Amino acid sequence: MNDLSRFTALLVEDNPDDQWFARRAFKKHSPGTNLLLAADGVEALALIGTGPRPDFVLLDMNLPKMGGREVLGALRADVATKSLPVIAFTTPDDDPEEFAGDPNTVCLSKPLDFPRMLEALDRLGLRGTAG
Amino acid sequence: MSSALSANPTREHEHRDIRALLAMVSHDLRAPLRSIDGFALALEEDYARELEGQGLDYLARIRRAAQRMDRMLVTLVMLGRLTDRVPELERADISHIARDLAVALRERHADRPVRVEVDPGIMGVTDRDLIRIVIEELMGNAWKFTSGRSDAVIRVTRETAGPGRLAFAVRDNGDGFDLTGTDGKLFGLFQRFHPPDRFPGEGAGLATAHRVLRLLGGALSVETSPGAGAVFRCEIPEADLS
Repeated sequence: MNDLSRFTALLVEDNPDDQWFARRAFKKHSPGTNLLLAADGVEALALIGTGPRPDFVLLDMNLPKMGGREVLGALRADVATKSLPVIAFTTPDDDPEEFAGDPNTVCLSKPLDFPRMLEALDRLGLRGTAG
Repeated sequence: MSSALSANPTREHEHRDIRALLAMVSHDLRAPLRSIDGFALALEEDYARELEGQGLDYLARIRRAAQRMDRMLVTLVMLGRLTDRVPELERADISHIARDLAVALRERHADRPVRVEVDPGIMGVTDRDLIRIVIEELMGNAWKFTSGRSDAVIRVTRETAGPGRLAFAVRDNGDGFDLTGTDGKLFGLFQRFHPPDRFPGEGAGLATAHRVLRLLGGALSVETSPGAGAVFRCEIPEADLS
């Protein structure tokens, strides 16, 4: 399960409990992963623009300041991040086909389920490269 | 019909209000439940040794209740989304849909031999996706309530209806229900008439079928008694495509 150890992940999440659950899941299943945190969309884009580039993003859709959809739109509009793997946390209220045309985005529902996240990363072609 | 609905500004406002309410349920009401379930799980995993058997049992109950409520909220959101939409009329081959669903049910429950018989040529003009949901719920229901029988049979039959109406029924030879005292509650959301350990579910299937049929201008009725199976009769207007 430690094959995410070499990765840097960015969690974009404003709910402190959900942040805690995600941190706990990574600590338990993949303690080597460098998990970055942004509490809103503006912070997320700033972090991606300046800090170490994450290998994938866990993106809540319902965020203050700048929503998940706007963040995703901004990432896809930028050459540097247009194919950055994103796991979007959608809800049953969202349209399940919304991101069907984006091969680099997979939708999951909360809570973060580690095995399902690994499957999603496989689909995004990420884990294969880690060997 | 659809243009008349969307041209009505009051209806538009209602739709927008309903969608906002559903989004609120979907995001804001489910978040605290996720915390309850998540921290209960953390307690269970990290403090299992400190907790006695009874403590773990309490935690399991907390988690079951939180998860059940979450499923109910999801059902509520799905049902709200469904009944908020404007039906699109098109030609629908109900027999074909039923046979299709029988294949899907068999694949999902390969362990159960259930015979499914569908009358050919049940055709109507209605919303294909919505009528599919109705048949799916009723066939799923029939599948579930015949689980006690090794000779389970589900039949989808054409029924007689008045002029301008189309009727069909989903019939099973399962457990049936005692309708005494249920007056109208059978199609109520989250109503259950069997112990959950015998037939699992949130009590949303019939409520969904009932509401969707009403949205289509139709109606759902039931004939059943304990041990005698059940007949769910669907009636919809025979719409004209012109």
